[in-house]
Amino acid sequence: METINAGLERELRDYVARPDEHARLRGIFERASPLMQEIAHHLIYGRKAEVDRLTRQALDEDYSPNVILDDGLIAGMAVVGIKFRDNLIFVPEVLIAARAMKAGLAHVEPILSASGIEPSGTVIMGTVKGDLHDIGKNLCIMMLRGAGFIVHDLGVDTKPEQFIEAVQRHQAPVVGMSALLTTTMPNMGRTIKAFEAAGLRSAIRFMVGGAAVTREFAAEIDADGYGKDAIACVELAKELTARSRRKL
Amino acid sequence: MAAENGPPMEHAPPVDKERLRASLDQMYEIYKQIIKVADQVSLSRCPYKSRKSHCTAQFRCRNQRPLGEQERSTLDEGDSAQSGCPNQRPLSRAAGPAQERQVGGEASLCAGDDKLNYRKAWET
Repeated sequence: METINAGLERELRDYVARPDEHARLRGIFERASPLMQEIAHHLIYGRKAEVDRLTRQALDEDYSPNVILDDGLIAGMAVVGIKFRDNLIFVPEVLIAARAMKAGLAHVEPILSASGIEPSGTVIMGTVKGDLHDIGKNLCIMMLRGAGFIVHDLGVDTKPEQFIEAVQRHQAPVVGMSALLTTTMPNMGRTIKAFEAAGLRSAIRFMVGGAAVTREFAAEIDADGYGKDAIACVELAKELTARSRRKL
Repeated sequence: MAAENGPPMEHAPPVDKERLRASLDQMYEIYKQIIKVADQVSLSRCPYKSRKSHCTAQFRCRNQRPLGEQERSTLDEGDSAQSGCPNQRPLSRAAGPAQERQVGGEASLCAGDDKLNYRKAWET
């Protein structure tokens, strides 16, 4: 296979300027089948429905999950990373691409599980009650999923009882709460208190983050950990998951 | 790797585990780079502002202004990722406080100049 579809050709020509990256991606796309190329191209533009449908189709056509990941999903995401680094797209576009990635991965994941590759853990994530800022949370979710976690996203303005209901429904041992405003930060503490009142506190590990949140504040509200950014969030989730497993 | 789609499959296609681990490491590395860039970019450009300067926030901000007719038409462009932004909600679904906090409950443009600290504009 040495033909690259017009969309990907345009992406390479117009947006991938560095010779090493250009050559590497061209190599991948040249060896990729037209279907994998299509998946990659749709992923770059965050077209979730198409990525979802074509990944399913690829599995039905007996493509190996390795090929789907390498030549379709990850190759597309590599272009997204380059365009973002070069200021050609911004955070909202990246998050849309990540959402399309998730749609594709959802088809591959059961196969990986069946092959003995287990998830890193399960995390409930939400921005606390009264707060509608979600970019930080969404970036954390993207990273957590990239690190192999199952993440249930409760969105913004999440009430304590919604966190409790999600923990019970998904049997999740870790809850991540985000708040950007100083006025909504106390709702993190109120949520933890609600778990206490429900008799669930000892079974759950809480991690908190957000622009105004500090390590001191996390300790003050009895959270189990504070993550300063999305990368720290992943490390923290791994640590808290391990701690909750030791407890079991 | 996270399995959210029901029970494990009985007859799964063969997977090269070593290659898979390398792929997942590569994916994580791509995301990590994205986060580092996001941290940098967000110092001067609001992270809710899309490539075409559409605001994707669910909350009210002083920099929001309603889209004009011409600008609105760009929201429907099929080639653009922003038309499917995770933060966008159909107007009929933007119920409650979130609706009140948006400009007329509709999609808006960001009028921020990326020079000032945009975070202050969020505190309205």
